[in-house]
Amino acid sequence: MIISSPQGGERTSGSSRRRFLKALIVFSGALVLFPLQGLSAYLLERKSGTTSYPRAKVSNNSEVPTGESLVFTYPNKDRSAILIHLASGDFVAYDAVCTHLGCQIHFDKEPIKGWENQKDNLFCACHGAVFDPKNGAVLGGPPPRRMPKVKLEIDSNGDIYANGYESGLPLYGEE
Amino acid sequence: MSKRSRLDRFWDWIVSRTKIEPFITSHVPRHALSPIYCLGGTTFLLFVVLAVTGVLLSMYYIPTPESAFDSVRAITKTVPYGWLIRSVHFYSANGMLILAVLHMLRVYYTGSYKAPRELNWVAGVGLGLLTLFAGYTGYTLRWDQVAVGASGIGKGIATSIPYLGPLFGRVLWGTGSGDTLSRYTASHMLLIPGVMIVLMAIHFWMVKRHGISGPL
Repeated sequence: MIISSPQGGERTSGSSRRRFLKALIVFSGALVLFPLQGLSAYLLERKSGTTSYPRAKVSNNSEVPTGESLVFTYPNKDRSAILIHLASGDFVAYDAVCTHLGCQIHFDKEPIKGWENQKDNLFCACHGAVFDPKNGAVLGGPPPRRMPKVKLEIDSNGDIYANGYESGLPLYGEE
Repeated sequence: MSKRSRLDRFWDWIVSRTKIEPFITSHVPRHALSPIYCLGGTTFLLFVVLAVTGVLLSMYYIPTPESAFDSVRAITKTVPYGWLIRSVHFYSANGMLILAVLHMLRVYYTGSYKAPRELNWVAGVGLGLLTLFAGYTGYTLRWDQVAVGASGIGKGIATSIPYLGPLFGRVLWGTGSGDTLSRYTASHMLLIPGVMIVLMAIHFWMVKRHGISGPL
């Protein structure tokens, strides 16, 4: 809108003000357009749905005796996972954040008081979720889905590495 | 005065060839040079922001009961700046409602609705109601539990209208949840904004014809 002054006529001092306002408009226009260049990514790019996970050393097979477990952090230092040496001799690992409401799950050699019958299972003490340590399947309690299973690689020295997930994604909290 | 710049002369040429002058100039009386007289224009500005961000959102939104929520989540989490576009759309929608109400209060308290501007008040009330409907239909497009519940409540209110209610319900909500979401989407993106643009054209044209109402 151009505002017409009822008095009419332009004063000469209006000229420098006009130049200032023009500069202001160009400047604020540039200020608006500059981030738009980055915003064009909205139409041109898209993050891939699959997140990549690092390969990280967990432990050595000599350090976790049969029937015992080890809590480690994976895929980053803020998220815990649990390595289990099954009675069958196999090593398995799961994300340690319960798929129900995100509590820490356990695999304890010593049974938790009151839950002695679940001592051979992955167990979440918050709401009594029970998972099968062989494959992460839900055996009981409220969880809607199985635990994400970490893919393990064991080299000739017995070093155990975590390398992404075999099944059960997405991780709790990253759906 | 110095020689007019190239840009000024280009603008003069545009003005002389389009005869646009009467549409973009208007006499603004001194008493109207006040922020409260800008509320209607600011409401319109937010409508434009909503139209732009809405078009961008519609490029990723999928209006089916199975995919709607996931597509909204994908916009927020995997599309670059999707969270920003969606937030701007959301907050502009809320802002537009607030500003529309403030604009209505300004028109009321300055008596600007009085003769000969009654019909402009009527058009404005229509715009206000449509803004409300746009907000409501937009709210349900996420199609999460809250939205499904809200659509049921809306249907209950509409069908409770005597005589015409059941017909409204059938037309607006269709026969199943797939129908309902499609019709909400059509209303939110096409029907309501389309009618609003027509009403706004009438609203602005009448403001121009009548001029701004006198001082208090």
